[in-house]
Amino acid sequence: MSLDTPQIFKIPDSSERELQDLFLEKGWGDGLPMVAPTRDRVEEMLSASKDLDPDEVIASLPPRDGIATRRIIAVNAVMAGCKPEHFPVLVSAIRALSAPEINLRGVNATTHCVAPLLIVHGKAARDGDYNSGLGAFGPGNLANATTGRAVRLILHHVAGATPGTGDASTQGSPAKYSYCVAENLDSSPWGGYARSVGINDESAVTIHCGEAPHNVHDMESSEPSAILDKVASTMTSWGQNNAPISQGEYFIALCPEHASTCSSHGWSRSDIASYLFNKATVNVGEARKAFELRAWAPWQHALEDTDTISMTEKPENIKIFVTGGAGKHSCIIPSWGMTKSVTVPILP
Amino acid sequence: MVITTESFRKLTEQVAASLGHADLRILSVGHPLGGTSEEIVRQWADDAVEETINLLTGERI
Repeated sequence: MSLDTPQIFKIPDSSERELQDLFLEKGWGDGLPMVAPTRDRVEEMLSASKDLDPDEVIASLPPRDGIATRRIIAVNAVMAGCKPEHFPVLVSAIRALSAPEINLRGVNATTHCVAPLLIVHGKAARDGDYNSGLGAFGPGNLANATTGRAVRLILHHVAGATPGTGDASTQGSPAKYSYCVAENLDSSPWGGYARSVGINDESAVTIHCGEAPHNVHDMESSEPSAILDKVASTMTSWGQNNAPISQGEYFIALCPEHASTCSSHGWSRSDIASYLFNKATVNVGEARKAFELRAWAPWQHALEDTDTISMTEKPENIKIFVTGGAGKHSCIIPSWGMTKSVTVPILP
Repeated sequence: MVITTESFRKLTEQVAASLGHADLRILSVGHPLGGTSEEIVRQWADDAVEETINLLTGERI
């Protein structure tokens, strides 16, 4: 474990350039200008945690196994441009990232383009002005942009996920700059996602480690099956890690209009997941031809070449939530594969 | 001892260090393994035998 010793740097106030040059020289940041984490700003950020210990260890983050305390998280939150009201969301996101099922060592070190998607649920999304409407995945909203960016800065500075050393991603991804969205609870016909996975607190966050969103466009369908056939088609692609790794999840971010069409025909979240499980399939023989190495469930290895196989091993791996505004574009977020999503309550 | 490919040597060193094994014996072989013919991979393995023995039996540097 690496606990970084606090250091104070004195910067002449006269030049913003000098400050940014210091960040670059130290190898800090994501390449974009950052806010100086002065003592006052860090203390203001920590005020969101009230009297809780600023030096309490929240997480140890691999591959560097750096220690994230509230203070260290606050420093990165200031650098990313967060406001104090976003701080509990960020602290909770870091807690979720350190859950063993996330497999953060693999997520950070793989050659894949994976980035942790942070989904904000419930009251915290409203209170923090997170965008769950038009343009929810960005750009343009301070809360989404800066909280997502702070997650990345912490992965870089604390976890050591630096391209070339701790992050071996072959091409990287724009989702590695900032990847945060809020659930559109008001437009979700099935209630909140967090509650569907057993988290009944008024606010929660989910971390899903996957690719950047893949668009699903359907302007004309009035039946759920027609919309979901297009979702299944987007899920069914040989290039995704889900193809050879059966434990991989999918997050399906339905826009409110697609969700409404499904719901108005009586379809629940699990109906949608079951349908997609049965429709997002490939031929087993073709899959064997495409991938010599297959991380499949034992029963899947017994399938005949003429059988079909789903892109994931069970319907429960297909997760449905609602986000976005008017219009008929949904998206899917395939998984890195060797990881499971985690949902936790928001705690300061 | 760990075997990695040349392109991932730095990453391997960092992970080893983060796990408290900064002096881990690391052998690098050619890159990439995926998509390279079996004949060439076997050649890389043959070429690495002597260094593997040295790393397993020699003093840590």
